[in-house]
Amino acid sequence: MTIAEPVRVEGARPAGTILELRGVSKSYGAVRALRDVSFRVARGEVHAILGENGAGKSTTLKIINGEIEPDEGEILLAGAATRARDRKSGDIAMVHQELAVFPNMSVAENIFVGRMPRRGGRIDFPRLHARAAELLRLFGLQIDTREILGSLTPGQQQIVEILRAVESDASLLILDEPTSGLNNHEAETLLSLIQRLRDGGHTILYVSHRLQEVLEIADHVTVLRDGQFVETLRNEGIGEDDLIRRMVGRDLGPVSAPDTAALADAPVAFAVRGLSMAGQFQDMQIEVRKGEIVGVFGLEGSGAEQFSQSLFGIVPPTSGRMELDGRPVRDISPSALMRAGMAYLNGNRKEAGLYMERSIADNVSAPILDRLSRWGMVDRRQVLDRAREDIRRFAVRVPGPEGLPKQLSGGNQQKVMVSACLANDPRVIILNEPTRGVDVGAKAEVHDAARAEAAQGKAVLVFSSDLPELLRLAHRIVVMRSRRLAGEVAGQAMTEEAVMALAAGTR
Amino acid sequence: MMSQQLEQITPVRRFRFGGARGFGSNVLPLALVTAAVAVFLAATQPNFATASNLNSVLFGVSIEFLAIIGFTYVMVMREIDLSVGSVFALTGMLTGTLLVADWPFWPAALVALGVAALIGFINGFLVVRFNINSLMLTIGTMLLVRGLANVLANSLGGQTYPRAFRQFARTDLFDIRITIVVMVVAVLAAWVFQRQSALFRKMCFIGENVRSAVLHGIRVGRIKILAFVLSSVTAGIAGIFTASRITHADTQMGMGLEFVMVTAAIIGGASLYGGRGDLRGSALGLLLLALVLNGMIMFDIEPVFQQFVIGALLIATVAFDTVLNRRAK
Repeated sequence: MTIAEPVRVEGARPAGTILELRGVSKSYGAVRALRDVSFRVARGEVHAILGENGAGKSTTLKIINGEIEPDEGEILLAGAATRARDRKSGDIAMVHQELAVFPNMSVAENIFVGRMPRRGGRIDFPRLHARAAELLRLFGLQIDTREILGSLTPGQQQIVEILRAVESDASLLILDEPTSGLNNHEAETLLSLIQRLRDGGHTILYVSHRLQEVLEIADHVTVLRDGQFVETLRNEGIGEDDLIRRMVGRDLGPVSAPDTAALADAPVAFAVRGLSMAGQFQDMQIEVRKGEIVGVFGLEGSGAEQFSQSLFGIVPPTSGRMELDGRPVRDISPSALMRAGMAYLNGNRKEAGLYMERSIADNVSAPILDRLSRWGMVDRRQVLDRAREDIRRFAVRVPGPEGLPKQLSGGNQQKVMVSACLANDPRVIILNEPTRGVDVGAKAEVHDAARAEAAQGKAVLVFSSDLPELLRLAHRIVVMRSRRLAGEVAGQAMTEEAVMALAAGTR
Repeated sequence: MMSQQLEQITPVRRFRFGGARGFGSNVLPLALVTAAVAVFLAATQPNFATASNLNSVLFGVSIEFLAIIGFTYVMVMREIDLSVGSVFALTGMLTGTLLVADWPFWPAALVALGVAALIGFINGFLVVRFNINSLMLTIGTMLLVRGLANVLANSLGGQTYPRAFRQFARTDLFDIRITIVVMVVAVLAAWVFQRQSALFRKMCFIGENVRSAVLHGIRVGRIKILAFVLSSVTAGIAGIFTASRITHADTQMGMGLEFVMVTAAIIGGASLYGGRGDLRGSALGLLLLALVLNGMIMFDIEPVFQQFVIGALLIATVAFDTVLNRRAK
């Protein structure tokens, strides 16, 4: 095999190259995570890396950050070959996808952790807080530097973590999906910070699933697929479709407009009447008809998340009632609601919804063990048959039902979780962030699954912070603002602008 | 494209319920180690391989085994019940006290077991309802119940239990001590239970990720309370047999038993991090510990070192468990 010449990018002269990968390969046992990857990052640019889950983005970042040594190839920093150890202690700062913060310490201490300004051997607190306040102002953030980090929203915590990397003053900043936990407003502040950092001479290497965002701020986009380098594109006159095509190697077909005419007469499958939870949300009303997909959208702090959890009794509501097929629900607890024909997809698969070290067969059978049992004894053949069927139905990329979720990519884990969610053949399905952190291909497959369920007459309620997703998927969208119902949009009026106007309170 | 994706995934090991991974989870290697210790003792100590010695070791193990049944399944759910030793003592002494007060045997035993079940229910209820850390909670119950047991022991003084009760533990079935028969039957039942039952799978799910289990409609609270009650009741049954065997109330009864249980259960395949556990392994773990202690006596090692050895083994197994758990993550 010949080593592929990296695509030469106009304007990125070798002298201006801060980072170059040459023929980098890495395997974990039998898994080939990266194969012969070569690309360049010019000094002072925002460079995005795109790819489906499992395309090798994380491995690439870890190699660049010096956390692991590649099996083959070399990494040049400012033209000089380096070893992992040099890079780890060198001019690179990385913000990982998962939060790594100290929740019981102040914002300022979190930003300057390990690098506290000192005077006479003691921490210089006035200077610490002054510098932290300065950074926060730069970021347009109204946070007291003395606030305890644990009391901030996850989005604000993420921003503090990014500020920590900014403060270290490394010239190459690596951000791994920095906006995945942020709401739209915070994401925008972050993007403007990135632009400001670039203007200040930093180089930013940036991984995100939000294509729009990438197109907005990146100078160059490098696409990886199946552990191999595809192309480095200059961000000029390219659109989302160009990127998607390179990521998946195919076009995603256009969505046909949903046929809502037939839905008007369908019976109401699920109704929420005056549901409230003290301090979280008030007087929520929703009706979902058979075959209908209703989206629920709300910015962070709107109470949408708590609302979704109380619908399934994870945190029970304090007042109000729910009706399934016109009959009131008496016992609002997950097990009772499941027996009544409801299913719930958790919004964060790392937290709950899967058993990472149990086989796929165990995972998809967990909600229906009793149905697969006789006299309390599980019919193991039936469990395996069901698992094989689900693997086929959702095209989960796994050798067999004995595979473990922790060996799968995010998208495939999500498909396993969706299979488990749909296992009890529910009549009402609540999906939370159904495609968070999954690649474009898996996203389309999950959407297809949701549409298929609706087409069979199921009532589907989708909570998502990904507005384009809701616009594609839902028949109508219910919007929450300030812990209340703000309004609803449907049909022709269902546009991003209309939803945001309701959610952000300009109407 | 599909086949290319497939080959990138590492071949998976067969994965079974009851845990095919981790320390001692394979019953066979543990059985081999136990057998090796037995063979070593038989070869070096003429007093070891006698019928009376083996019988007494097995008899002791079979009684402790009764107490580890519920304990093991509590550990599967990532909880722990350190009150077993105290409940064991209280139930045994309460049965004895009632018998001394001229109660018939069965009512006395059932009342004592009812008290044990109540303690288990309280443990489970508090853990489930208020989400209290079971390690700390059951240390509390352990002290509290130990206090009650000591009151009983004091009121009985050195009085021996009625003769009929003293003979109870020596009941034979097919010329073998009944507890040994029960142990063999329970191990076979556990094998089926762990392999086939929906309940054991639910316990494993709860132990591995309790939040996922809640989302999947598994009645976590109910199952946890059930396991705590089972743990107390099985400890109580073992306590009744032990009271009969030692013939009188003794404040030392069941002292430190909980630590023998943790050690044996982890050797047998359970984990402090939940999600697995194997009653067959727990039985072998108890047998292994009993053989080691028996061997120490044979080699004339001071009895005070017994605690030392249990402590060292506890540290070793817990360390091993933690390291393996971290590697698995």
